[in-house]
Amino acid sequence: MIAAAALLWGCAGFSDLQETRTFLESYAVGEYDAASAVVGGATGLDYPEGQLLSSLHTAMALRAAGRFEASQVAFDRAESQLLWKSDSIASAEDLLAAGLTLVGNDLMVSYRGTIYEGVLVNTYKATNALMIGDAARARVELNRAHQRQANAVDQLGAKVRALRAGQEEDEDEHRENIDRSLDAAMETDGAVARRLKAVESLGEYRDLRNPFTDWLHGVFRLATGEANRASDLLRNAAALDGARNRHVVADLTVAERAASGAAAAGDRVWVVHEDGTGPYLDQFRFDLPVFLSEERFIIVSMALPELRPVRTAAGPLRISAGGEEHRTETLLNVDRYAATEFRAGYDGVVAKAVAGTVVRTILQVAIQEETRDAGTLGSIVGFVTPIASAVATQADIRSWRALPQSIGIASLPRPSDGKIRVSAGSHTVDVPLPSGRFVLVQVKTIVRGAPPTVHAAAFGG
Amino acid sequence: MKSLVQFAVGACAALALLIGCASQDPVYLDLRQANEPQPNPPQVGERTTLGLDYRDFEFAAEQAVASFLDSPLSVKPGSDAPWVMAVSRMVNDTALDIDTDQLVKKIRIDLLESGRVIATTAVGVDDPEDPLIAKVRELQKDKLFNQDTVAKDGTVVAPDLSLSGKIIQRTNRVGDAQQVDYYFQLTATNIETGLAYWEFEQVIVKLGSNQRFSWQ
Repeated sequence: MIAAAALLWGCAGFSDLQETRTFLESYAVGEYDAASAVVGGATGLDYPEGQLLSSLHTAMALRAAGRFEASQVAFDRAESQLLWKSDSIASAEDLLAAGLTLVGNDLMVSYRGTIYEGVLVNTYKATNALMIGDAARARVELNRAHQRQANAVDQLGAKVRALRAGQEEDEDEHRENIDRSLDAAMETDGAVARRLKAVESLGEYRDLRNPFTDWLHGVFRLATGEANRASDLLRNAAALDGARNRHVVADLTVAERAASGAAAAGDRVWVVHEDGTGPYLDQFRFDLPVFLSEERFIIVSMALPELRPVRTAAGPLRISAGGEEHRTETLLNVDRYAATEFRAGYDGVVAKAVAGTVVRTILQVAIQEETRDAGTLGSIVGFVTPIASAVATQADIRSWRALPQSIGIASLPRPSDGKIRVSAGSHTVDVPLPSGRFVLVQVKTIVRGAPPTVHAAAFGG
Repeated sequence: MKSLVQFAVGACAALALLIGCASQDPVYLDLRQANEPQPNPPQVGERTTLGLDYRDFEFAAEQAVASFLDSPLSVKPGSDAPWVMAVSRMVNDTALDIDTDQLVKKIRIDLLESGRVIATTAVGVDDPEDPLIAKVRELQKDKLFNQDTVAKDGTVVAPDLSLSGKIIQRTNRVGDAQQVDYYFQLTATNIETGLAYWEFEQVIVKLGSNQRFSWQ
């Protein structure tokens, strides 16, 4: 019995959650080397390569620590686990592992990642490549991110269809019981509806397309002298952002002038600020009526995931350069980005979870009634099934927890004295700029009061 | 009437290709040839990968060399000597992990065999392809070496042609399939004048399942 319980708790999901908790103890306070060591020892890479969540977490810790080559290795491993495009997740089997959708839950299978995580993996790989000085690699990664962005809307549609297809497959003898329970779960002003409203209040990115990736790609093309392509990408970024970010609009103006031949792009410094820690999934429980017959029902406690946003750490950066003052402006709100995908699939997740809970409960009741008088065997079965049920009613709350809450940017002319001063909260850092016409400065603030980490590299030109 | 039948057969074949591709291995959709076909070139409808493999590089390189040799400026004007060509930037603007040397090396080999072009390894965009050319000259003051055998200064031949290029990728969804277009673009520039003496583009179009990204 103990072995059975250990087996259940040792499944992929629970070990992922345990590792994430330990990882965050260091990562969330800015101890990045210690955080990567939690996952992969001294190198940060000594862990089973197939573990997507481990790769995502250690890759972010390694890049924050300035260990960009090692971070690339971890991101490469992550990308190899994020293979699917649209058609390959067109069935519930592909997305949720066949056979486990009703008798178990997602925590029993490996973490599969999300569509937006795939885009961000290639985006981060591009920034890592720029930091290493490998512009050719950055170009390939930006092209991949671009393809993932272009495919995201199709992929999201396929994902939602796959979740719904899972429901159709479950239309069996319990369909009526499932539908009655689902109606109860989705009632207006109920626990689920309230949380859906909270997610919807975060807004969404149209077509699940993030403006930061387009902007980064755009300024890369600007720096490599491809002004036409740059202006297309920057126009995308400005449109997705609603032209709120003045730095994007300024870059677009520079690119359009260069594309028209009016003026070449002058030397520029681009500051990217990753602030805080990103949204996370939490579990909430509510009472679900499971109808055993027309008149008979029991109440079971059911778990579902909810998306919880987190606040920024430092807010906009203040940047002094050549006697001018600048401030970063948010370009990607990761809460909203995650919420876009979360909300799109949530109805399917709820329906699947309700169906699973209803079927499991009905089976459990049947087993208990049949084994009530079966002596020792009955007592064993009676002990194990509640354990299995408890595990199976845990919500899958795994996600890439090392993302920032937001990504802000600033675009400024390169100062003649070759340095900028970056202020985050009460901390000020002088940043000598590497020689080169175009410089990318990455600033990360993880928690209020902690000093920012800063890395800079020149590229293009 | 015959042409109408041919058109109908062709249209049916293309339609069958499109319908069949969503669930099968990727195939070549278009291989417009800038020149005469080489022995054993890839064929439309033949199975391939969605990325680029050695046959694609060989095909593009052979087409490029044939195009160059067809150009009247492939013979150095007013001289019996071959062009001396340096390899400039060759940009991989795809989502694939590819080494552009796969393309360049094949071109260099074929051009060298033509007798009209010799590549130099003494000059490169970032560093010389062969750093020993400069390093060996450091031996000019080394008493250990017979100075008659040490390369002298002022003997390295400067290039008069520069080869640059780009491989571009465009991906589009076609129903349940994806179409991936690759453009091999090459330019040979006369270094003295800055004029592009030769321009080349080879398109390779592939159609395959939309299950995976082209780089996987």
